Amino acid sequence: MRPRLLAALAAVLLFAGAARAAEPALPPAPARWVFDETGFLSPAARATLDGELEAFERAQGSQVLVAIFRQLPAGVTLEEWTQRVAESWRVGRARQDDGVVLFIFLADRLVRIEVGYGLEGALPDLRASRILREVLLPGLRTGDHDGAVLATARAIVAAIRGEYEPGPGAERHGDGVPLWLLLLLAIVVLWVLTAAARRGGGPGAGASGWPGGFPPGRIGGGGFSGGGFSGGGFSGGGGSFGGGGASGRW
Amino acid sequence: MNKTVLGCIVLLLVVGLLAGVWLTGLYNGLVGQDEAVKKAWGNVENVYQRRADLIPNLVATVKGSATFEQETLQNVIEARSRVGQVSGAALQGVLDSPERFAQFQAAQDGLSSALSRLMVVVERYPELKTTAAFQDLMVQLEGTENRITVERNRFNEVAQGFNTALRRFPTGAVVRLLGWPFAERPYFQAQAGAETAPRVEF
Repeated sequence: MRPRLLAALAAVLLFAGAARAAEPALPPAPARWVFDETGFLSPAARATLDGELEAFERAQGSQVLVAIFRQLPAGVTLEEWTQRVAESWRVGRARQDDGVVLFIFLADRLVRIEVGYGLEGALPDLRASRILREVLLPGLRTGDHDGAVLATARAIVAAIRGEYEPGPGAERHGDGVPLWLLLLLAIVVLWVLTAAARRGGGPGAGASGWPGGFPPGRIGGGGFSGGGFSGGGFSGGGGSFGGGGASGRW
Repeated sequence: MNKTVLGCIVLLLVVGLLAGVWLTGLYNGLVGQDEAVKKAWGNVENVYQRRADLIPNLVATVKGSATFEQETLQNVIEARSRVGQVSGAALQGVLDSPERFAQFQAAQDGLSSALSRLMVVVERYPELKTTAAFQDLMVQLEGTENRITVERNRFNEVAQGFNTALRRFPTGAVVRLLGWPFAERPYFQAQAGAETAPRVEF
């Protein structure tokens, strides 16, 4: 009896799992700035573009990605899908939300520029649409894939560079007090404490100090969260997307 | 004897203190989640306002095409004015009342369907469809519809999180017992005809 019950339970769970799996899984975040599932771009163009986008992120902080897929998963709409993918890749910095992803779906002949919340001013829908209509789509129609994608990515970068000022706090990844100030404070406190102890000050001096020095977790904690520079490749900074951008078809 | 009484008092104090700390955490957690719902709602209002602001421009552009079907255009204008009635000051307290929330959604969905009918009809007017002004408007309108979908989904997620927290044991019991001022937040329902995954209803 019991095994049968277990089998029934397993079947139910499996069924529930299958029902959930009917929704297509989001693709994992790419390792580089250019993701090309099919070899749509030539290796040289791909390397050039990847280097430019990496350099742009290092210089300005905004993340611009190019993602070329074979096709759009069945049963999803373009805009809904690209927004979810860009969001799940965490493109752009947290709070600044300054990420842009250029999506190309070859079999569907669909393209979309997905713009993060923070760049909707620098790259409004109209401008994104013009870039698609005037730069990308004509190039795709004539077959000049490398040139079209390169020029489009450069136009996106130019739009961000032209109007977008990295806001205050762009260089600091943690919020609040910068690291050097915390370190300085820790040194001063330690110095005062040791000086007081050496002078044989009141009995309270020892008790009220931190026995192990400044808590080390506090100092290290603010530093490296949400940056994109930790590894060699692309890593999302936690940017958010609100559905801004434009779509096109060739 | 005295020692036992003292012990009991201390124990009661400690338990009371712990309960106070726990209740504070519970209350503040709910406040935080409720504020998140309101913030998500603010974003929803913004994107709907953005769409409403585009309509006069759209109407003017379409009117310029003298032959355009008047009935379709009139429907959009009327739907836009109904949306106007449920915005601004009339929006106060929409989140607190499921009926007014439903009214808000009905008005906005009415504008959505009037607009999509306009899009279909426009296909018959190539001379209008190909003007730069109209194409620009379409891009902006599409982007706005897109943002509306995103913000509605975000709002539903946040509201669902809050409602779940509010109904979960023992939070729900505590809220009722102490009469805390939290009420479940309404959701957006999937638009008629839209293929949206069914949402869990509470």
